[in-house]
Order: sequence, then structure tokens, then C-alpha cells
Amino acid sequence: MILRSLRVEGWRCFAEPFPLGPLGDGLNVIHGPNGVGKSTLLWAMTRGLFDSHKVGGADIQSLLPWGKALTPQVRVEFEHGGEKYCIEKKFIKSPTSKLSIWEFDHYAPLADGIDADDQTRQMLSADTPARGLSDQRHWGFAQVLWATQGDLRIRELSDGTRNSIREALGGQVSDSEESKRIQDKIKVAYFEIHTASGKLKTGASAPRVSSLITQLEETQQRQETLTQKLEEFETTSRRVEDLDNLRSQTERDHAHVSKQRDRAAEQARQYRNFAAEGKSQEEKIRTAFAKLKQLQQHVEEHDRACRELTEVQQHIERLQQDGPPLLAELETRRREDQEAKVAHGAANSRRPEVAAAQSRTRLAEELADARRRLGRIEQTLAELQAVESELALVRQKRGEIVAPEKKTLRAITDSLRKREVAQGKLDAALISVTILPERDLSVEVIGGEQPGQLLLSAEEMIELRGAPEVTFKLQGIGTIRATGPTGSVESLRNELAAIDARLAELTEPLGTADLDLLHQRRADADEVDRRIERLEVKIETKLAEQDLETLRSVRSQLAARIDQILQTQPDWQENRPEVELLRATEEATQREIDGALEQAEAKQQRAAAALATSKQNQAVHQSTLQDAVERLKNTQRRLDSLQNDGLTEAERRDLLDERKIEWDVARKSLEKIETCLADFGDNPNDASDVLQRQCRSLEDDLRQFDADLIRQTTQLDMLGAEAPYSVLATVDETIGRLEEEIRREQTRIDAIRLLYEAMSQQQKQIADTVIGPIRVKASQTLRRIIGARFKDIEFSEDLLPTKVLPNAHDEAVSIDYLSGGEQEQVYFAGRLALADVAFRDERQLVVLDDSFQNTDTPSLARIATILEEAASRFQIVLLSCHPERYRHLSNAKFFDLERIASHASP
Amino acid sequence: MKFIHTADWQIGMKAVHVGTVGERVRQERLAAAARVVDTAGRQDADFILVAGDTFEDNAVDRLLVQKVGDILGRFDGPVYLIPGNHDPLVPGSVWGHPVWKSHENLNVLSEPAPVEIPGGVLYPCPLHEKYSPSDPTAWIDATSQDQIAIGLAHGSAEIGHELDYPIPTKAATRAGLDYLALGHWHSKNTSFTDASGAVRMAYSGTHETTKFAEDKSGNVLLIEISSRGYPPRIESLRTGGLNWKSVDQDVREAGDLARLREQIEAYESPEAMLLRVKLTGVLHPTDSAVLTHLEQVIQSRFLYGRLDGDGLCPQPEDETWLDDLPSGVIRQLAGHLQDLSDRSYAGPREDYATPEVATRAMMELYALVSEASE
Repeated sequence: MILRSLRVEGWRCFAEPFPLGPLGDGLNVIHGPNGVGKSTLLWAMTRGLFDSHKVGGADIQSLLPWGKALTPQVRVEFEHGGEKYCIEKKFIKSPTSKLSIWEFDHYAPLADGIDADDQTRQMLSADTPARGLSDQRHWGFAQVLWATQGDLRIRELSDGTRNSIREALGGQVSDSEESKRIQDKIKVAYFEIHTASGKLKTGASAPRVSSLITQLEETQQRQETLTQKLEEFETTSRRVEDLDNLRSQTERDHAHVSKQRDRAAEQARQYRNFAAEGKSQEEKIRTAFAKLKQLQQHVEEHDRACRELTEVQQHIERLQQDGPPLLAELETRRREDQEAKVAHGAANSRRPEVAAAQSRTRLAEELADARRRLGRIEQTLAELQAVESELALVRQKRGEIVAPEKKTLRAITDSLRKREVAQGKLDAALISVTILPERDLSVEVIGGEQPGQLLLSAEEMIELRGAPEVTFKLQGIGTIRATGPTGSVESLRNELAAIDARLAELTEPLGTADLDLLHQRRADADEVDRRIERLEVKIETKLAEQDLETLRSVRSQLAARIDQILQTQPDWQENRPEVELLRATEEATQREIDGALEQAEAKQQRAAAALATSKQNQAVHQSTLQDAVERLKNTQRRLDSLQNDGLTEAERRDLLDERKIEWDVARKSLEKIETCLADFGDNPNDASDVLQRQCRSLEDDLRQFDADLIRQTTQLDMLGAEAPYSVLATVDETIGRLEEEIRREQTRIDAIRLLYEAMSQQQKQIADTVIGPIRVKASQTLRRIIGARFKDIEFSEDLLPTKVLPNAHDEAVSIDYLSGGEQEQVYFAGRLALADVAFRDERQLVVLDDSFQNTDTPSLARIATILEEAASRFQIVLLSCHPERYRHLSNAKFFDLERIASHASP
Repeated sequence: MKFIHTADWQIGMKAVHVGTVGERVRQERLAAAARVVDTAGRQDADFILVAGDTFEDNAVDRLLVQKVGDILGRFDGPVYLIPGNHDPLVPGSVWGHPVWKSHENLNVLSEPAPVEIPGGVLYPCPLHEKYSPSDPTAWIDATSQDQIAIGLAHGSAEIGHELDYPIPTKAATRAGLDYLALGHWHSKNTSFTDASGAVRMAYSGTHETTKFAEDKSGNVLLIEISSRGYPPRIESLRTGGLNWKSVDQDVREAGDLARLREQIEAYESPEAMLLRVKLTGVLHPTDSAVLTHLEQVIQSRFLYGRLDGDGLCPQPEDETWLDDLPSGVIRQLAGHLQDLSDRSYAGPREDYATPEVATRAMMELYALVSEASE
């Protein structure tokens, strides 16, 4: 369909008749500011083409201009299938519809009323709405070709449009109604048992196989329990069999061990008898041996007592003979001891001689020492006197030197330096005039440092200085005044005066301000001071930490002591004593007296010892004699006691022989019994006990086996009574039946699933056949607008764009996630591709109402170029409030609604 | 001497793959036991030999033991039984049940020792455990026996590689037996001959078939021996009550399934028949409905019936599957399913989309197509 012209009246903002056209075959830009009625014109065209003229309701009432009771009218001139038509409709009041066809030079009526409505819709493949106004779903191809204001997205395509597009793409893939019914039935069959996500349904609507599987699982659990029960039956049976075998074996073991035990018991009894007899015999041996031993001891004791009596008697006789010689020796020893004591007293009486010699020697030593010390002290005192005389002379010389202290000398040096600096500053602050006269002349200094008259000699330079000026008068020449920068000359002078005063203060006591002289004096004074110091050190050294008075006192004491000694020993006044001689005499006296004493003491000790020995010998002799007498008495008493058994010695020896024979007989009997016991080897009582214990243990085992057998047999009977195999058989059969049924059901479910999935796959392949070309064209257009950011646009089976595939990755992205501008461009590309693919056989009207509100200027420029190219295949109507964006398109035809409205106004 | 040789009654056995008729199968084994006793009575047998595995397991219902004892107790002559590998003589076994002592004619032989029997001597070989590599007949030495010597044992004749209770094929000759009555194999086997061509060792097989494809079962052997050394006369007598039928049909032509259905509908005594039909071959579009009908016949008419059509699949090149389908998605879908139902198809395939599932899917598709066209 190609739109040729449009005329509206009584239609919203167009209360007056408003004509638009004729429109060109290519690009038409209808523009005007907001509210001028661009979109109203589009909606008027759709109402005229697709709606019943009799439509009522609130929606159609909204077409009326505000506050006006007019009849909305629309007239559309269009071309379709090579013919030119005109549809005219009036709504609300006296609605009419009239379809005309251009014949020769005028429009001839073709249909009116509902027929006109229907025929127009039929031409445009549009659907009739059930009631009310049409919406985009009823617009036929215009769903794709016409985009309402700001909305390029196609939300839904009607089945008719979709099929028309598919048919346009190839009749071979179109489905018959029968095919669709079968497909529907396959879907129904599939979704009877599957959820939308492809899983088997659960709950009340679950397929039968689900309940069969549940039954199978429950039955399998029961099967497991029964299998365990059956295994338990067999295990218990085996356990009973094992127990029975074990019991039989144990019974055999018990019989065997019982026989061994009985044999061992008999041997044990015999062994015990022998052992008892042995013990009895041992007792007899012990008794016989005791009697024999006792008699032997008696005989031996008697013999010993007889011998001892003889020996003691002989001993006493010998002691009695030794008595007199011992007494004589004692007397001799007493006399010798007395003589030794006397000799010792005589030697001891010479001891004072030694003390006198020692005393004289000490005095001689003391005298010699006192004289020696006195000599040294007197020499020291003489040396000290000489040094002190020298010191007095040097001190006198030091008193004569007037030298400044070091601190004072530094102060003078500092003041002189400061004065030099102050003088320099003052000199610098004074104005200086130098005169070098060529002849002698007189100068009167009026202002300067030295005012007054001065006479100058030829070729003799003079300098005049002063501050703040130097003024002088040269006779015959004039008064010359020299000025300079004013400074603080006075303060500098004061500073210099203060320094001079300080210098005078420091040097006046010294009698000179000559710094060199003062330094020389200081050096001289230092030299004399060092000499005084050395002399003082010498005196201190001589005194050796003593003072002079002490030294003199010691000298007096020593002299007094010497006099005192000489008074006690007058012979030493003439002849000085020889200490060594005195000391030798003393030692000789000492040795002589000590030797005599030592000999006397030794002799006395020997005499005393001999006396003591003699006394002791006498005492021992007396004691031994008494002991021997006593022992003689005791031995006699013991012998009397031993002979008191009423036997003679010969009888006593016969009895001893008899007892020896008794003992030998008993020992022989015991040896015989021990031989019998040795024949048994180990004690048979031990073996008997072990076998007895084994028997008891085996009897315990047998009782335990019996108890276990009863218990296990009872359990086996109970298990057998439950008939686990028979029950398991029915359970296994149920499982077999259920598995078979499940297999059948599963095969059917798999078959339905395969039917559905294979059908879906076929449908998708067919859809791909349809969508493929659309997708290619749309993607190409999008890449021209946006560039290479997206490589593909995906379309749903309903032929609508749904996703884009970015170049950066392989995951498709929903269009909803793109920016507003990108969405516009994707939907535009999709519409253009659908239009290109589906309607390439006939030029069609494409309407875009303000469709690129979010698109940036560069993209819009590329879209404009694409639209210009598309205009060779389509009639394009752009409704826009920005006509300048399309001005560069040379073949576009522009319609200014404001201008048209102004021309149309009466 | 005339006696009945039977074995492997397997009383109480499970019947796993026969749906809900397991109990009926078990009951039928008791009924067959009664028929054995009746047969023995009718044939004036001197005694009955039961060569092991009288019961499926020692843990079967004690009521079954009582019933078996009572059934055998009805026989006028002595009955000699040995425990087999399924019901070995162990503590808690079926042989401890009091029923074996409540009938005087019942003799459970628990020891391998000769026993006097009417007209001869019996050499029983009772088993005491489930598995053993030993020959249970090894102890028998009847070579010096004057009377007719009969062996009674349970084990595997040394033909195959079975290791449990091996019995040499010449065991009867070696032991000097006139006849060795064997149990363990469920199918009758009288093919063991001695040097003179006489059959002196045989398996009677089970008295009532235990499963599909168990040939030569459901019988007892009537043995007659005139005197020591003479060859036995062996006669097989039917005792089985149920007919276990297996049909394996290869379908090639479009009408094959219909013909098979007619054939099956003609089977006699379907109420006592357990029928298993396994189909292989080509599935034709028109066979889908016939197949459904055939399954209904099998499942409703017989004691137990099972149709296994997993072996059927459409021929890959058969365009008739696609001819009547609407073009577009459905026809392409059918073509794809036809590919998947071909076992040699090398294209991509989901794990669950086996050729069987694909074939079933095609049949489901055809059912939906039929519904849609109604």
C-alpha cells in the first residue's frame, strides 16, 4: 500500500478540514512542533483504514476536538495492487464508510458501509477487532511497517501476519491445519506427563510411572529386608550345624580327658603315700641324729674338763714361783725414779742466765738503731734548711715582677682589638678631603676634626677630616665645604672613648699599656712561679708526709733514749757494744742450759716408765693368780656335774656306738623311699589337677553348647516358620511385574518425549529457515548504524527480535538490557528487515512517528542514509519535530504541518 | 521292579516374569505333585523315587512342606526322597518337619548307605550343602550286589562345565547299578547309554515346567526292571498342568502379524497356557493397529501373555510411512523418527532415543494422526 493523501476534519486538534498530500513515492518528512497533530494524523489514517465506521465507546469519543460536537471524518487516498483507492469514513454521528476506486479520471464507488470497512481491511491483510477500536494486533502488515510515536518495538505479531510473512518466505515450510492439530496433540500428550521445564510431573498429575517407581522402591526395600532374613536363616542354620559339630568334638575331647584324669589320680594317690612315708622316715633320722649328737657332746665335754683341770693346777704353781722376783724389781725402779727427779731440778735452776743475756742484746740493738735514725733525721733537717733559704730568695724575686693576670691580659687584648675596630668605623664615618698643594699655602679649617689654621707645604699631601662636614678656607681661593652622608659619628666617638677608659682602667695598675711588654712580664712571672712550685715540691718530698715539728720532736726523743741506755750500760759510753757478739753469747748460753734440761727430763721419764711397768707387772701377776684359782674351782664343779649321769666312761662309749647304728639304719630307709618317688618323675598331683580342670572346662563348654544350640535352633525354627523364601518369592514376582510395567511406561514416556523434542527440533529448523534471512538483514542494518559492537540479532519463532549477540563474547544479551538509543536502533533494524524480506514484491508504506528520540546524532545521520536507500523500495513517511535532521536528504519531500494548517484555515 | 522316578519339584519356587500369576504357577506345582502320586498308583508302581530339589529352598512356607508330605503320604507304597542342592539336609531344613515322620511310607534318606527297598537295594546320595565339587555317587559300589541295585542322586552329569555335584556319565556302570535316578536338570534326559546301549542313568526332569523354553519338562519316568542286570524299561508319563509357550516370529510382510494373531487365537486351553511372543522384523504402517490388537488378545485370553515387539522396526526406505502424513513439521518429524528407529542410523541420537523408543514414537505418532483425522 502506498499513501497518496490524507484529509481529516473534526478530529482532535484538527477541527477544521486538514489536507495532507500528495505524498511522494519515496521519503516524506511530515514535521511540525509538538502538539501540531503529527501523531493524530497517523492515528486518523489507521482509523480510516482498519476500524469499523460504526465503532463506539469512550475511545472513539476521544477523537472529538475538545469542547466541540463535530463529526470526526477521515479520507485516505492510497494505492494497492496497482490500483488507486479512496476510503472515506465518518464516525460517531451518522457514521458512514465509503470505498472508491480510481477509474479513468475520477473515483468510482466500490463499496460502502461495512463492506467498505471489510474490503479495505482485506486489502491490507488486517484483522477485525472483536469489539472497540483496533490496535496494532489488527493492523496486518502495518504491524511491521508502521511504528507509532516513540515506539519502534513490535510486541506481538498476529498469527495472520506471522503466517503471511512465513508464506512470503517460502510456501514449502508452511504447515497445514491438520499438521498443526497433530502438533497440538503431541504437545498435549507431552505436557500431560511433563512440566514446562521438561521434568516429569509430580503430585496428583504425576504419570503412572511415578507411582510404579514408588511402589517398586517400597517393594525393593521389602525385598532387601527379606533377603537379609533369608541370609539370616541360612547363617543361623550354618551356625547350628557348626555348634553341633563343635559339641560333638567337645564331647569326644571330654571323654578322652576324663580317662587321662582318672589315670593321673591313681598315680597321684601312690605318690602321696610314698611322700608321707618319706617324711616319717626323715623325722626318725632327725631324732636318732639328735640323740647321737647329744651323747657325743657329753663325752667330749667330760674329756675337755679333765684336761682343763690339770692345766689350771700347773698354771697356779708357776704363778706362785714368779711372785718374789717381781717385788724386788719394783723396789729398784722406785729408787731410780727419785734420782732422776733431783737431776732435773738442778738443770732447771740455770734459766735466769739466759734471760739476762737476752736483755743486754736487745738494749744494744735498740741503741744502734736509735743512733742510726738520729743521724738520718739530722741530715734531712740540714737539707730542708738549704731549700727553704732558696725558696725565700725566689719568692722575693716574684714579688718584684708587676705582671698582669692572664684574665686581665686577655681583657686588655680584647679592648685593644675593639678599639681598633671602633677607630676604623670612626675613620670611615668622617668626611675626608685630601689636598696636595702645588705651593705653600694657608688653610683655615672651619669645620672638621681639627678646626683651625693649617699651613700646607708644596707637594705635601694633607687630609682634612670631619663630620658632618669638612669646611675650610683656602686663602685666595675660597671656602671649600665638603659634605657627605650623615652618620652616627658621635656614637662612634663615644664607643671609642668607652673603650679607651676601659683600657686605662686595666693598664694603669701595670704602669704600661704596651701589650708586648705586658706579655713579657706575664711570661717572666710564670717562670718564677714554676720555680717556686718546684722548690715547694722538693721540701714536701724531703718531709715525706711529715711536718718539720714532728721531725724535730723525733730527733729529741731519739737523743733522750740513747742517753737513757748509756746510763744503764756505762761501759758502752766508751766502747760501743757489738750487737753480733752479744747475740752469739746469748745463743750459746741458751743452748747449754737447754741441753742440760733435756737430758734430765729424759732420764726422769725413763725412770718413771720403768716404775709404772714394774707396778703393773706386779698387779697382773696378782690378778692372774686369782683368776687361775677361780677357774680351777669352776672346772672342778663342771667335771663333777658331767660325771653325775651314773655311767662309767666305758659305758658311756658303748652307748655312743649304739646310737650311731640307729642313725645309719634310718638313713638307708629314707634313700629307698626317695628312689621310689624319683621314679614318678614330675609330681603326678599337678598333672591330675590340670586334667581335672580341663574336664571341668570341657563340661562347661558342653553346657554352653547345649544352651547355644537350644537358642539357635529356636531362632532357626522361628525364622523357618516365617517362610522368608516364600514371602521373598512373591516380592520378587511383584518387583518383576513392576519393572516390566515401568519399562513399558518408560518406553511410552520416552516415545512421547522423543515425539515432542523431535517435533520442536523440526519446528525450530523451519523457524530458522524463515528467520534466517530476516536475521541477516537486520544484523547488517544494525552494524551499519552502530558498528561492529553487535554481530547478530536473534529473533524468536514469532519473528520478533529478542536478543543481540555482542562481538565481545558469545552470550546473547536481551534487548531490554540495551540503552534506549540502542533499543531503537535494534527494533528499527528488525522492522526494516521484516519489511525487506516479507514485502519485497510490492512497494509498501513505512511510517515512523518520532521513532528516534533516544538516538544520538551520528547514529541518526546513518539511519537517515539507510532510510534514503530504503526509500527506493518503500514509501517512507517520517513524522518528526526535527526536520533539520533530514534536510540533507536530497530526495525527501517535506510537509510543514503549521504552514499547511495556516493555508487550510478559512 | 516298577517304580516312578521324579525330581526337581521345586515347590515354592518364584515365578518372576509371569506377571501376577506366580501364585497360580506355585499351586500348579502342588497339583502336579498329586498327579505324580496318582500316576504311580495307576501304574501300580512299587515305590516312588524323588531325586532331590523337592523344594525350591529350605525357607519355604512350612505349610507347603506339610502339603507335599501329605500328598506323598497318600501313595500306597514307599516313597524315597533325598535332599538336593536347593533343599540340602542342614539344620532348619524342610527335612526336619514332622510331616516326614507322620506318614509311614515316607523315607527321607539322610545318609549315603544302602537301603533295602521292595525288590532290591537303593543307594541314596543325599546332599548336605548347596555347592560341592564332589561326585555324590562316588561312594556307591554295588558291583557285588545280587539284588537289583538302584541309585538315587542329585547333580550334574559331566557333559558341560558345571562344577556342582558332578556325576560321570558312566556312573551307573562304574557303580554296578541297574539304574541311577538323577535329579537337577529340569528337562528329561534319557540319552545316557552303557556299552550295550541300555539306558541305566536318566534325568526325569521336573514334573511341572518351571519356565519358558524348558523343553521336555512336565513328566515323570516309569521305570521297570525285570531282574538284576537287565536293562531298564523307561517310559515318560505326562504330569504337567501348565503349557509354557514361546513364540518367536520374524515379521516380513504386511499381513504377517494378522496371520500370527489368527494362529495364536487358535491355541487350545489358553487358560492353562503361559504365552510369550517375541517379534522381530519389519513394522509396516498398517501393522500398528494389528499389533495393538494382537497384544490385547495375548494379554486377555491366556493365563499369562506377553508380547515383546521391541524387535520390530520400520524399514528405513519404506516411504509408505510418510505418504499419508501432512507435509511440513509432521512429515519431517516422521522421517526423523524413521531414521532413529533404524539400528544402523549413524546420526546424532539422545541416549534415551533408542531404536525401540523411536519405533514406539512412530506408533504413537500414527495413533495421534488417526485421532486428528477423525
